[in-house]
Amino acid sequence: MSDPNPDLDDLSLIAHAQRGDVQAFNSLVLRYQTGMYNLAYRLLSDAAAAADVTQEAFISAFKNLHQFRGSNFRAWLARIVTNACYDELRRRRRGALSLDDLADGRADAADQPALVSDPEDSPEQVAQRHALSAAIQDCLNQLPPTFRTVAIMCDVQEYAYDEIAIALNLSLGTVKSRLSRARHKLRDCLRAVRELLPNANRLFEQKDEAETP
Amino acid sequence: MMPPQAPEEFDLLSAYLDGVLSARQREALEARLAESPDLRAQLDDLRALRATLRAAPTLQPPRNFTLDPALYARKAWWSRAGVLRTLGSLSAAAAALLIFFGVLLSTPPESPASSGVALQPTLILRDAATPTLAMLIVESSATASAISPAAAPPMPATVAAQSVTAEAFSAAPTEQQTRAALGVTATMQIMATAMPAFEATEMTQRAMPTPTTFPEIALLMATETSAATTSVEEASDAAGIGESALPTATARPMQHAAEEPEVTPTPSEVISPTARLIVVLGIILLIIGGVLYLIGTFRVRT
Repeated sequence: MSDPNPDLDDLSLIAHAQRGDVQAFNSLVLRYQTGMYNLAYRLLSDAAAAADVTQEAFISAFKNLHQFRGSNFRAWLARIVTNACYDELRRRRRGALSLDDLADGRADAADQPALVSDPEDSPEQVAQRHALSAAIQDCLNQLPPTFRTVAIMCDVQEYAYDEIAIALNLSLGTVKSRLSRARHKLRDCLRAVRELLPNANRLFEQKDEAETP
Repeated sequence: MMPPQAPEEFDLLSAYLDGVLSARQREALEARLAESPDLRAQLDDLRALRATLRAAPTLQPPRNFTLDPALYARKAWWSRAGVLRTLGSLSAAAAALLIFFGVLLSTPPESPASSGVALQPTLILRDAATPTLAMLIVESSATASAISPAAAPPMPATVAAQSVTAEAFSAAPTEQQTRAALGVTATMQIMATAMPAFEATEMTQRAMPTPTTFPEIALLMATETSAATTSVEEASDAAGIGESALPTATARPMQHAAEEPEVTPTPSEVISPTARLIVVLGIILLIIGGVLYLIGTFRVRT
């Protein structure tokens, strides 16, 4: 399905959707679904649950769209998605899932959804990116959920601090300290990833040069 | 390997990496970075960590999460199922209450004279052989007063009664038919006075040449005319209320009342204008309620 309203910006689409226009809302869904699904997957490490949570979150967003007053729709959506993920994690902790699932936080490589890939990528590159994605997921799974969320939003999805503060209803100071602690915990795990996947370094360096202040 | 590190230092480096330090903090940290190769190594390590996370491949959602417009399109509040029907039922119930209190207010206090003549409207009804009409109206208001979804259905009964009454008016006005119509009015208002009703019969006959399209206004006007005989003020009141609907019918009773000043009413025969207004409002509300209910039922089916 392609965006039925490619010319409208988010705020006009939101205004239309607030008056009950489902197609306008669907344009927003198409713009944000990849980001929201990735946030849910990185938090839950479960492709099927992430899809369910994302769908529920978009339905909930449409029903509660009249409550959206701000200007940052992505942060508002992320708040709904993370809350839905926390609910899902709580359900799991109560024993809804089998002990095998709880035994280790390792991401199941077979369970991992397909990657958004460049058609020019060779099969080797695709396989390597898959391995990298799974390795990062393993490291994220070792963090408590609240720290994991901050690390995913800031470092994986590149949200600004103030967006994270809006989405998670935290102060900027709390975002800063949680992110620092999350990075501290991730440091050794991710260093091992880099050592395991030396060929992936090329990817890291390219990305890094563009972002360094 | 990195030397052990104070958490505050790591916090500073992390914030520095994201460019969120204050100008003073940043300058202080940059001065220390220039002096300390260890600190620079730590910053590089942190930068590599962030780069690794940023390099995390984007996962493809298994499907689109768009909503089905057929399921989620919002309907206007008034077109939602049940809203109109509930409104209709509620207004019919309110109408029933209004009519009930209007009737209560218009009932004169118990007196020997009124109880003596109270039988006469019933006699007129029997003459006209249309007691069921009156029963229908009384029944409908009684059913409607039970506040429940069943409050609306009485409408058709009232409408039927009105259309039959309208026929009585538009047909050649024999005395019997006019009396029938008046009998209905009398029963509705539970008028215990027979004499004014007879006076009204004569006047309604005179007023007949102007048939109205809105039968229950004619009904009420018949009541007005009966009241008009009791006092001139009452008649002018009635003219004020019903002027637009039935100008000739109100003009004549006034003349009539002026011609026959010897008819002096007893206080118990005067129906207060408030009571009449309440009954009028009740009937209008009942009609609105019925129409809303029918529209609501129709819209839900389509």
